[in-house]
Amino acid sequence: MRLSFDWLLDFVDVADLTPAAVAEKLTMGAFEVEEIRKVRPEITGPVVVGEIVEINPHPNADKIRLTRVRVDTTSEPLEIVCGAGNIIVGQRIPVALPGARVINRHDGSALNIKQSKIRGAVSNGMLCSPPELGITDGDSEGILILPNTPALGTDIIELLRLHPDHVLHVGTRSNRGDALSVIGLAREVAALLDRPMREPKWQLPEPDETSDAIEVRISDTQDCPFFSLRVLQGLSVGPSPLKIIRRLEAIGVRPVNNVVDVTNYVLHELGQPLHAYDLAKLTTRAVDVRRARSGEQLLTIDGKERELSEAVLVVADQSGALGVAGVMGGKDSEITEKTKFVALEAASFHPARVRRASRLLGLASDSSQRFERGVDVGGVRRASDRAAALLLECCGGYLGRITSGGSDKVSPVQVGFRVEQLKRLTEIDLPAQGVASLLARLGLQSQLVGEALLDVSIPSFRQNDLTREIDLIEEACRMWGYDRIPASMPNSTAAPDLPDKTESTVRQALLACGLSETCTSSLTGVGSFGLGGEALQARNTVRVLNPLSEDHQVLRRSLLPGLVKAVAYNRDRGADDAWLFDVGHIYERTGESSQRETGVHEDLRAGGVLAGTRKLSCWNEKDSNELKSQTDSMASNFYVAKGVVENLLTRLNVNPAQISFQRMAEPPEHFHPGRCCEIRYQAGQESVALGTLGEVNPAISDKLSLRSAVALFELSLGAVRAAGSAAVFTEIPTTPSVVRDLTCDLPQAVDNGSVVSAIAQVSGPELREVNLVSVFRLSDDLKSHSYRLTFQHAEQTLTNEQVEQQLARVRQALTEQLSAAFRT
Amino acid sequence: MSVDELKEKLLQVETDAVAELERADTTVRLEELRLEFLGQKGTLTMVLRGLGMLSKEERPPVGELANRVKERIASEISARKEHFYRLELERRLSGETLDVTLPGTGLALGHQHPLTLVTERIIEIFYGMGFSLAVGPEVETEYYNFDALNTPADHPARDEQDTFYTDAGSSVVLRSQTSTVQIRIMEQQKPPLRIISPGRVYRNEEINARKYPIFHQVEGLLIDRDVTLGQLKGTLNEFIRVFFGRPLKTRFRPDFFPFTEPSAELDSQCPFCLGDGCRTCGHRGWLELLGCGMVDPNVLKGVGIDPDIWSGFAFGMGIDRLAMLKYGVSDIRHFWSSDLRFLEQF
Ligand SMILES: [Zn+2]
Repeated sequence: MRLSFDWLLDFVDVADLTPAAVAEKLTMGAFEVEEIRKVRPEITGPVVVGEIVEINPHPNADKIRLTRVRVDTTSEPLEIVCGAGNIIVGQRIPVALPGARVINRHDGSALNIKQSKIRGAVSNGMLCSPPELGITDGDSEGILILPNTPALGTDIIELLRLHPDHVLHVGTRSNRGDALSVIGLAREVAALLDRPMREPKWQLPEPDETSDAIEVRISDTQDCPFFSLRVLQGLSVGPSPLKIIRRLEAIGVRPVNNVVDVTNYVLHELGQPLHAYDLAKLTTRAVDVRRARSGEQLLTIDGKERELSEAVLVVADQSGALGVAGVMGGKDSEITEKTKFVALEAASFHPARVRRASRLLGLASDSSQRFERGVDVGGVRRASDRAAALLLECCGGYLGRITSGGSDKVSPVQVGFRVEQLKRLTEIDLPAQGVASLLARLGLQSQLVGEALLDVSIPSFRQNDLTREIDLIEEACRMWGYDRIPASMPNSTAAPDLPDKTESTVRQALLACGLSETCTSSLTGVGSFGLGGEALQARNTVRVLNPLSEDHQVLRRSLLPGLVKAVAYNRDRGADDAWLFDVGHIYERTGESSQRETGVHEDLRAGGVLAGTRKLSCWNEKDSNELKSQTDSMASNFYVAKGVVENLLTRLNVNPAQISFQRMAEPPEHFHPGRCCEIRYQAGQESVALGTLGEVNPAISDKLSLRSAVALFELSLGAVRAAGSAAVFTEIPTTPSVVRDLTCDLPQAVDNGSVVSAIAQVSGPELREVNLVSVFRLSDDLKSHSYRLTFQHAEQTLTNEQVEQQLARVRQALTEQLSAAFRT
Repeated sequence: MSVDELKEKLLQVETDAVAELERADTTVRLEELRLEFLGQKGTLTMVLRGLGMLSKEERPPVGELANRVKERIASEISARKEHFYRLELERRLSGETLDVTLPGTGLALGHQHPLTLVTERIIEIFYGMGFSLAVGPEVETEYYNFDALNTPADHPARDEQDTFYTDAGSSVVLRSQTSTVQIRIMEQQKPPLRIISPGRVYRNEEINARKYPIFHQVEGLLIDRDVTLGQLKGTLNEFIRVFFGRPLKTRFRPDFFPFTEPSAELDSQCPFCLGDGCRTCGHRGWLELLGCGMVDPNVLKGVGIDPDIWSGFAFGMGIDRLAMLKYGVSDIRHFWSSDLRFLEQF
């Protein structure tokens, strides 16, 4: 909220401190001051009331005139040059005399007044227009004509209340509705500085007992615990006194008329929202506080027609709603220049009820903002009194009767405070008396009960947030000052658990493969990415009920759409080559929710995308073969992605013999159906899916205008973690190894996996490695594979004969099982 | 041949060989000479055939001389070979000079995302102070996100304008804070506890340079006997010193969170201007870094921990904000852009 420093001074004497010093104190006391703004540029005297006694033309200029202005009754009038056209003899106007500092109307800078010559004519000061005095409202052209004939020589700064003021922008706190007021923050300032509060005082005359009395009927005191209406009669509506106008202006509230201004003034001063109705517009002498009827209409003061619902609380007379309770009044009963009779509402509404209405209507006001945070029911009557006193002062008239419904009685609240608990939690070591006096600064009176127990009385305006011992510990600590508590270290030396390394190992492996890490949104649009979105999201997808936008409607089911979008994004910015990965969650509904179960499964995935070519180097020396071979590039395709996945699994020590890459019976639609596979891990009898890998379906590439093949992979880190193992050392054999090459012609339909497993099946443990050397396409039906087989026995040197026997078995198996042919 | 004649011959061979080797100018010629003098049909072998004609007593001194001559020639050959190799090497090296200013070749490494770099850094620092890593789900029930964290039923944070609700159930939300993990851990483990938990959180906020509806937080929780506000200050001061690599002044401003009391906002002296005021700190000299406080007794009671025996502190900080500060990133949206021009800077 905005706090006027000048206003604050009414309640606590901090005139010896700068606004910045008070702001610092508030900031360090839980009320952060975000900004301090000067209300108007500083003006210094002498600027006084003068009267124009003569106006003569300037001999050398058309647009400026020579005036004679009297600023006191005894001395001669002063000669002052003036360029404004709105002056006539006899007017009282502000005169800035030499030595004064006013404001340059053109750029807002300081303007120092000196005796000067203007086109040969002497000028002994300046007649001031409103902007030159820092007054921004009203007519800015011409000299300010002062109404009501103020006495000559009167200090204009006093008269127009042009004192400098500062506005502090103070952060609000959801549990401290009491501090959304000048008096509330003044209490804080007084407490933090340990200075006394000046409680406001006023005198109310006896009410006219013959005046109208309006019956108040509350349908539910849960919604509205207390509601009062006070009648004021014979008021004259007009502009407010300058003091009120300046203070409202300072905090950004537009002055309207004296009645409305007073309700706003008291709202900001005491934190109690008020509303004034034109009594003449009420059709009955009874007012209901009730829920709106479904479909009930109300034209609010801001000129908007609102449709109400049963969730909204209204103040109504017989003919309908007069206003939305605690939020905004209706246009029909608003105060106008013709208003003579006023019904002043001061009430207490339930925070949740006001919040509901405010949200439903999309309407927030200074009033709703306060009710939402809780307004002290014990302060309602006082605010009504304060406003009534001000209204009588500003608008004349006389006081009528007050009627009410509900109760504003506040029960006393006592909270016990074990003194040693303060030390236990905050290390502030004070005797009971010391603690009591810290609390007393906040208006919390306490009594010592027993040896070290304080019985603390909570005033009504803090009963909302001070209910427990811990709340009082916080207050004592705040008064003591958080910064006075010395820093220390916790005193245990227990070793923390080692963090699981899977995630970081995966990242390191992918970084080493040349993929850069990105971070993609876990909220996506519904099927907006054209990457199998529709099918992916058909079932068990978690939807957001109140999404921020179309692109944030559901929780993702895969990392891949985001990664493909990232490729398209970079392509649009001129980067065709993008090798990216992301590590993050995917989400799926797997069951019903309960109080503690969401029924949603989150799986941590690592996803990657390879698009374009990954250059192995950035330059190429044309005429050297040796260098050329170093500057090859690697196009993205299935096999490159598979290589990356294999690297990653190797890095996590997953036994390659237990890994298989298998075609899927029903490949996901985002993959090229012939160029994708599932990665599975065989753990004993159980086969676990680790993830998928493949090239993007060309239909998607075409849709996103991706030029070259894009390969993708996605692994479930939970499954991969379970498949990983710790490394175990195997003795290095000292026997020589024997290498043999084997080339066979195979039908196209036979895959490499079948060949390798057939070889492994018929070979003994001395076959240590089978490496594919080349694949050669012979015809549409036939291909040729070459393998390099490495044989090594752990203990003995293999003879040529033994190796040849093995090879013969391999050839036979391949011939019989896979129709392989061997050329001799 | 007499002994003297033989000796004479051997010495002559040696002289001839040395002279010839001196004249040799290629490695090929050296090999020819080796065969000529030391080969099976070489001069030296021929001379030594004469040894057989000598008496047993006469042989040793001649044999000795013969060996000396043989070694002399052999070492002369290897010296010459070494000389030629050096000449050859010099010639080769002088022709193989590279432009050392051409760029290096090889597969480029990928770049790690700045949010990961910062997260790992934060975890490491707290690991050093005894905090173990914990994780919790992003999709949460209102119970964990609000109720168990002592958030009143009508608290504005529960508003649809702040928190995302889902169709997975009437009270299933996207967590708005990592504090949910506090409860999950305290339900599962007995104190003393020290955990740190990074993760994604969600808030229904319009996207701009400073806000994104998804961001990352790290939650810290310490529960033990006699834990004090002073220890919270000490722990976080240490964190800031290590994270920014220098001791920075800090201040603890009282604040309000439902699940801690007393609560505080921790400001650190701006590491860029050291308090003088700059653009990063909005000319305040201070940076708001994180929220923290002593765990509220209601929270402890809710998970069956006696607040009169145990006490603790908790803190939560925005990783994205720390990363923006650490790397001077001006717009939070860069983190989510996947733009290589951004990613490749880290
Ligand atoms: Zn700074």
